[in-house]
Amino acid sequence: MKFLHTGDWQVGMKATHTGPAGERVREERLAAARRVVELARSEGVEFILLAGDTFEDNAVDRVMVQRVVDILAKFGGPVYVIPGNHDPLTPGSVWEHPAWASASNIRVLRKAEPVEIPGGVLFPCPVFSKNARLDPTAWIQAGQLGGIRIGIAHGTVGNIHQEEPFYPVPADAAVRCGLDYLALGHWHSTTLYPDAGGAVRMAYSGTYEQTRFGERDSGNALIVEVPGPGERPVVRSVPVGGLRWEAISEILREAGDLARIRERVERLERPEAMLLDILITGFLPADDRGELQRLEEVVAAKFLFGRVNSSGVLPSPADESWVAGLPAGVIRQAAERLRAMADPENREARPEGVTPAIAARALLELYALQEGGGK
Amino acid sequence: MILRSIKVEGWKCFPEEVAVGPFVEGLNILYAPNGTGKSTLFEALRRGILDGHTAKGEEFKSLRPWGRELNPTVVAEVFHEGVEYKFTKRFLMAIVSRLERKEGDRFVSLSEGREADERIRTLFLKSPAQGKGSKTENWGLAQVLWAPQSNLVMPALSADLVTSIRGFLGVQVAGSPLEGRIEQVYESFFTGKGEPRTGTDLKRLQGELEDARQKLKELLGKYQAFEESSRRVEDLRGMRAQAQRDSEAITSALGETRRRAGEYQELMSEKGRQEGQAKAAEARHKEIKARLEAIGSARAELKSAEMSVEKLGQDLPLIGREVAEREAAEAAARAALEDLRKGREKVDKAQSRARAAGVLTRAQEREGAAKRLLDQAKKALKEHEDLKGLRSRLVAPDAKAMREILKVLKLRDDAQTKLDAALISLEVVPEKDIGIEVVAGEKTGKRRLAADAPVEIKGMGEVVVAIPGVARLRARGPSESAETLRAERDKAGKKLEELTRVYGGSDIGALEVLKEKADDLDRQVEQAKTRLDSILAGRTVEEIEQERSKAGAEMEVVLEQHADWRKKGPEAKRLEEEADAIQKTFIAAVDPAERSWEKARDALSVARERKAKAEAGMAEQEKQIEIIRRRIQGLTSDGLDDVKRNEGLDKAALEWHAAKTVLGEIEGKLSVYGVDPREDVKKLELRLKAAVDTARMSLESEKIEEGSLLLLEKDGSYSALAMAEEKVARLEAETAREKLQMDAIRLLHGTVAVCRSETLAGVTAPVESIVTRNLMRIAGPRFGRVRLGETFEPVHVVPREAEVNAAPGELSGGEQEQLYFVTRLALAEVLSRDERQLVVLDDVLAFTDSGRLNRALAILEEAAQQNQVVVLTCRPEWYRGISTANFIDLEEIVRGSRQ
Repeated sequence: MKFLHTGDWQVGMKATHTGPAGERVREERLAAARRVVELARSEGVEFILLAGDTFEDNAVDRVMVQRVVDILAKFGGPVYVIPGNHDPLTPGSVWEHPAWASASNIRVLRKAEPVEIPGGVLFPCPVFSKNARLDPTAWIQAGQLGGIRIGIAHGTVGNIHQEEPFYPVPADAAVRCGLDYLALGHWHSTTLYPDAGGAVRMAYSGTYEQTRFGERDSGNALIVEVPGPGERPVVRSVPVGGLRWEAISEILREAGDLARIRERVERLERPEAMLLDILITGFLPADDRGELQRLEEVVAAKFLFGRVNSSGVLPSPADESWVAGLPAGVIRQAAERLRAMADPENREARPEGVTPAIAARALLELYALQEGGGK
Repeated sequence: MILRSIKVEGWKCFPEEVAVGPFVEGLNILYAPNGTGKSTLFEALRRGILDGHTAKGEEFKSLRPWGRELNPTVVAEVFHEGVEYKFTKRFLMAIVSRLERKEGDRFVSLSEGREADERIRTLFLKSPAQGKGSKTENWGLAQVLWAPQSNLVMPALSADLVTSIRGFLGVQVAGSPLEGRIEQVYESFFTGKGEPRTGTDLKRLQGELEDARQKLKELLGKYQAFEESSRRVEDLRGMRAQAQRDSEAITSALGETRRRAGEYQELMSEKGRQEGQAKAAEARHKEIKARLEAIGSARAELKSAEMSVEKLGQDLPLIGREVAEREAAEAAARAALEDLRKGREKVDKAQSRARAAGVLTRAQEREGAAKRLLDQAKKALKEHEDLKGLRSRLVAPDAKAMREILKVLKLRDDAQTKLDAALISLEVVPEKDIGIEVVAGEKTGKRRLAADAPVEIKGMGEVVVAIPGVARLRARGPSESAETLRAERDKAGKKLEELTRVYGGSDIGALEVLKEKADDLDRQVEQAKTRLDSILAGRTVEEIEQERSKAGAEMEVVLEQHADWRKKGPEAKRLEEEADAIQKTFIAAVDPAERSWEKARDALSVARERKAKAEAGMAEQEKQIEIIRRRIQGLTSDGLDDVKRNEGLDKAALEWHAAKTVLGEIEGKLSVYGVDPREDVKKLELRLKAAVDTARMSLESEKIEEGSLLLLEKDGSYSALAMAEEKVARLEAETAREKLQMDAIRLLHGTVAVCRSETLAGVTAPVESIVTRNLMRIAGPRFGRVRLGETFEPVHVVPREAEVNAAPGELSGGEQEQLYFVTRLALAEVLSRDERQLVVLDDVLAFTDSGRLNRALAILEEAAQQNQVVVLTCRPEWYRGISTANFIDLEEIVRGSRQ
């Protein structure tokens, strides 16, 4: 038996902090779905298991439901889908859309009861509400049935720390339920659970397309081969994701640091498919002020989405050259005061309502005006 | 700039050419009476410098002398930066503008026309090129240096002048291009009031953000509505399933309950029948028993009533005899009492005589007292009238008249004293015989004086004596006119005569004796009046007369009834005692007889009541006997005797008991059911109906809700929500970025403004020191430090002791002009550091008292060491004490120009 295990497509998800790139992020998820189907066909799998959270929410645009059905229909072979906690089987859910009935190869598993599949039996654990503390696999007693026994569920394995561990799944669920393989959804990072003998009988495929900055080991699908009942499954992770979400955090310590960051950013591959989040802190020498603007320009011009957060950057206390070059009198006096206000430790220097960030920015504005720029 | 001279022609009050000058480089006092044209002269100089020669219009036409079509012309010679200049301006017709420079001993033209206008303006008063015309802000240095008529208050100085002053003070605080750029950037973001501008990115973003949030809120509502609808459909499906299960269970329970209810109903019917039989037996038993008891009771009552009638028949004759005896005793006691009461008439007669004697005696006493009082009052009244007559005949001044006389007398004496002092006395003691001529004095003309004979020559204001060949002596004194003083003295004398004529003379001693005599008589009249008032004690003589007559009338009434008392009056006391004795004797006899009669009367009343009560009791008992007999007859009308009735009673008791036994058995069977099963049937039927209704309604609601859900589902609200949230997040990030920049620019601008303000405060400090020092010299130490604003205008005075600063407007009029006087001079001192400047003060310090004026003039004299000062005044005497001043009599110049 050979099948493809995927899940957590989160089609229609919101991409709140990606500026105008949200629509592109959503489109990319459908493109990734097409890549999954192509992978299934190229690998010659017998069926596809989609382990919940196909959609981000039951109230997604119905056009998206139709598009997902169309993509899955192109596989031709059986596709078994269970509702997850993002798209539970409730009145008005995406699963009531007539498109599901029109695609004969797709089967939405609406009940917790065994289903015959090519070469064995499938034990589905559909989700009926957004949150619950019940083990969705608790009903499975697969030991008495013949053939290869596969489970498909959506929940949180015990060792994953979450504030609200909905639908808890025991770490030994596959063995306890008598399954050859338990396909899991809900956790976005690809995670395999080998048993004491090293056999992987339970795994999260992870989301097929990264959903946010800082999410690791995502953007994959699993190709699973089970030679026979009770035999060791062979699990292989295959990348299918299209976009990359890169987060860079740097502290400026000396002159030239900012230029080095810019050069590193410029070297990043496929910027048109990358979402970039740069956080810069530390002290900015006067000579590097122009670099900040250049970096912002590079990020805005090349990347699908880029954000440079430099609000924590402070003017370098050691750098007095440009202040000394200001006209003597009022302006120089004002610059010295702003520098004092920008010092986070020097609270007495700041009037009420003024933060070090505002003072630092004011100093940068003065610098720009002195250089002949400015708004 | 130093003014050498000025010529004006065809200008308001100067139709002919008037040339004034030369002016010295120090202090010039240009004086003349009001209306001569002092201010006009300097208006001409100002317009000559500031106004273009092509200027026209009503404002310039009004410069012409009234009713004359002349062309206002001004020519001034000035010294500036080491060069002598002359400029000429003529307005309206035949216009001219010319600037000349002195080369050798003649003036050579430098420029003419508009170019001359421009050079004159910028050269002499540093008026800005763009500011043409005579508006105060275009006056250049003259804003400070030239004070218009009676107005030392400085206008708001123009920016260029403020810059000039700061330049003289050696500080450049504005004009840095970077500051300009900061201001420019700030103004692109903020309004003058510091509010963000409407067209800024921040405003736009905030507007978009607000719209996006509103949209997000709406979409969130839709999304929540979808979720809510989904939940409701789920709930309704659950309710419907539950209702179906309930209805099946209730239907099953209802069948069994209905069977039990049938059995229960049969038992209840049997119970009803048995209860009817028991009730009928019980009623019969009670009826027979009650009848037997009523018959027994009536028979006992009849026997008791018959015994009472028999006893009353025996008592009644005895009670009748007792009543007769009591009536006889009461009649005897009443007859004895009436006999004694006949002595009452003697008592009344004695009492009447005693009262009449009392009335007569008291009336006689009142009449005598009134007569004595009348005699005293008439005597006191006569004395008072006599004294009043004496006072009315004496003519003497009262206190008010005396005060008036003394006041006029003092005026006359003061006038005389001043008159004596106003005359100037010049004593001449010639060493040899000489001839003199009194040129000015009381008696003018030539006189001969003998050697060593002192001669005193008097005069008013001044005495001038010419001693030919020796000297001309002049003595001056106070300028007050002796004639005025003499007139005042005579006027006072005449008034005094008028006031004292009525008293026969103006001798104050005699008038005062006269007044004392009058005062003494006034006191005696007052004392006589007091005595009279004391005798009358608030009443009038007529009231006392009436009282005496009334007492006489009362006496006459008594004497008419008792004629014997006319010869000899009664002894009222004795008569009263006799009447009391007669009354006591009468009462002692009557009281016991009255008590005996009352006792007999009460005993009779008791006997009569007892007799009536016995008779009534007899009648009542007889009536009761009749009633009881009729009741027994009714009770025994059933046709039975007592034996038969007792047999019937026993039978009814047996039937009643049997029925109760059967009822007990039925109750036992019913108690097995506990609750009435028929009620259970009703409840179950209702529950079944409710369950069916719930299922039906749930289905209906479910269908409706599913319809709503279908519509909401089609909206795809989550997708729209996702996009809206993304938009809000993007706008929030952009807004935060923009706000940070605006906050930074505001902070930059504010910090620069604070630094500039602090620097400016340092700039004004030296000027403040001069102003403060000179104001204290004039007004004393009451004022503390004077604070000047950024544009050098006085902002407030910091008093030494008061806690609150005083704004210029809070000072008195005199102190205000002193403040601005020293401020203008202090700024003039700054502006003349490179070159002496012309300071013009037109009729100033009019509200300053003489003490402060002298101190202000000392400061003015000091200022004239550094600047040329021209004071225009109608009071030249104020400045006579300044020895270095150059006095110019404009009136004389004008007069000379007309000849």
